[in-house]
Amino acid sequence: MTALASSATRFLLPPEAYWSEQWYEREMETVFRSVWHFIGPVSDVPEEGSLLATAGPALTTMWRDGDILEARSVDGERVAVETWLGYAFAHLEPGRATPLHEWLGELPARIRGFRPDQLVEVARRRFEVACNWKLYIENHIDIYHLWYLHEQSLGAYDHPRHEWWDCAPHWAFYEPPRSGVTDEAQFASGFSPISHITSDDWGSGAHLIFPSVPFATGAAFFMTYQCIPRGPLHTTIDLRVRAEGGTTHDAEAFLAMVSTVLHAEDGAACEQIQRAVVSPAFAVGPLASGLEAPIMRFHESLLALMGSC
Amino acid sequence: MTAPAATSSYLLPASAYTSREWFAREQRELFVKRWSHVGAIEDVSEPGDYFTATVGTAPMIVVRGDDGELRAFHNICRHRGMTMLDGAGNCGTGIDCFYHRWRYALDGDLVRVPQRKEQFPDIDMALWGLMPGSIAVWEGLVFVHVDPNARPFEQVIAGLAANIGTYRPGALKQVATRSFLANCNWKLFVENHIDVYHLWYLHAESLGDFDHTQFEYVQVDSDWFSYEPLREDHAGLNRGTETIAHISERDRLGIGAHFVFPNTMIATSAEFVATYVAVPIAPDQSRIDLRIRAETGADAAGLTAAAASFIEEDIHACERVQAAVASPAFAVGPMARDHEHPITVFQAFVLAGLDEGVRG
Repeated sequence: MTALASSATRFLLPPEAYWSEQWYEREMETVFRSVWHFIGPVSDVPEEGSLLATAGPALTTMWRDGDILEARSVDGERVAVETWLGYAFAHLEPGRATPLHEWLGELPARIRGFRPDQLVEVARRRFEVACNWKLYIENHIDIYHLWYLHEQSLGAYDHPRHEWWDCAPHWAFYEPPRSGVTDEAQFASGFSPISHITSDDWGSGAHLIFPSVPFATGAAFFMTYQCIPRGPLHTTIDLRVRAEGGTTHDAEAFLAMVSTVLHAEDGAACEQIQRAVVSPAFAVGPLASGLEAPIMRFHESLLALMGSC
Repeated sequence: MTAPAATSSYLLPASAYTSREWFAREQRELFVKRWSHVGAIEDVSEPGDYFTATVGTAPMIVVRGDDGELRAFHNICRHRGMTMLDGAGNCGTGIDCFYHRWRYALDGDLVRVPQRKEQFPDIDMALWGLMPGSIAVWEGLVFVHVDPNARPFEQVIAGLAANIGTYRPGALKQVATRSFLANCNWKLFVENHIDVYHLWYLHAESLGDFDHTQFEYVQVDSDWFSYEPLREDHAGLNRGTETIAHISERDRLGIGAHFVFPNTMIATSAEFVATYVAVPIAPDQSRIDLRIRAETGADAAGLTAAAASFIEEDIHACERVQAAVASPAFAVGPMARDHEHPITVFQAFVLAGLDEGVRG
């Protein structure tokens, strides 16, 4: 499965990457100026008027000109806009931007045919975590913790049969349900199976649009949970769930289930690491050769853009 | 640390009580580099009993081993740096990290790495035990230091041991603990504690039985120890609780107030020995951790209420000063020559401690 399984793993970022104002400013000026920013569903942009959105270090105004989306930073700079599967992306430096589909690389081929643009938004929740944004991303791409932190909440999935794909700088992951287990929890909330997906692709997909947009798929949903950095010590998670339209479903029950994993378990774990990061004794030890290799790749991608790899 | 030259004035700027940068420097230079009083042996009497404490910026664990030994470790999993334990309790025969279920024995050894053969084929488990700190117990009081090679604790506690009178806190039992949240910088609480001048006024009622004119104190390096007797016209204390059997007549008829730099305060009376530590939380927020030791059978609720009455008076006053400190007009005027001199000494040691950090 993993091309990287045998490669050495090392935690490449120093502790100050998780608390220093200077490091944070550098990320904003380098990493976040070099990537396509996830803005949200195209439908967020009104027919009349404009959408004010945060794109990394810059506020951006996005509007429609006929069928075309256009954007400028609030400083008046031209901003490039492209879309993928109904989501708008912006790039602050159009002169340096490679086309979005090139930048996404292999990722679109690894998400098993999910078409969020054929679904509707059924729930949205924002929550705050008191940690650096990178801790939340590292947790998302850490496969090793699924067995332990999520023993109950993700116990329906067959972790040993997981697969992941290094779509550097992005990442894709899939694991099937355990044999004999259906994804009853999703359906119990009244969601119906996504019609354009066959049951062969039910299971748990978890992916990352570099650097800060995790998204996940299941038999009945497609959800993004963008990490919005609010300084070195705080992150807002913007969870947006899409599902088949026209069905009766209990969005609150679904959000409660998802929040257990993403907030009560993952968010709390990241906050607990953040508490240790400021200790003079903080250090990271050996990483799992395969199951934590994506963290090293994430660090490599960050450092390459920060010019210090 | 060399004894700083103290002049009778208020040495710290207002920013010492409000600024994040100053606060971070104190955490790094004053607290991480010193012994901290974090608990009592009664909190960790059985194998597996533990409590956690944050020393400066360092999360720590104190845990009693199967062998009866008390140990201090960094509360940091060696794998990904997770803070593993919270609060206090009993962790059984080992410490599990909830993130990936690495497990450490009570002596700190790494004893389990899930999926080790496949995922960590080359790991040498012996290298990845919990990082130790230093631990010391004096008279039932537990102190920790983040550094396993810390400055000898005996040097730190010698002043208190020599100046606490006839009290033997270890012969008493911890009968009560309570924490207070104070919306003030930790130094304001310390400065209030070593300010003799305010006893007459702020504590006119709560300490009215004592003869402040007979107040005496000694400064030993950065630490401070004091005693004052009951007023002669006072009929004697009667709180309806056990008085301490082993103390002298002088100690029975007076109170002691002591300070061990940087943030441990001690109060002694005929009925109890109390410690209260001003734990820094933020530039404008502290937690006061009160622990009371008394004879077995003492009225714990009554003693807690008595200690709380003067601590709450002090917190109230400190919060009022904190509210003023942020004003652009804040300034401190002349200080009482003798009665407020300990504040100047304290501030000189704060500055000297921060300077050591600058000098590296």
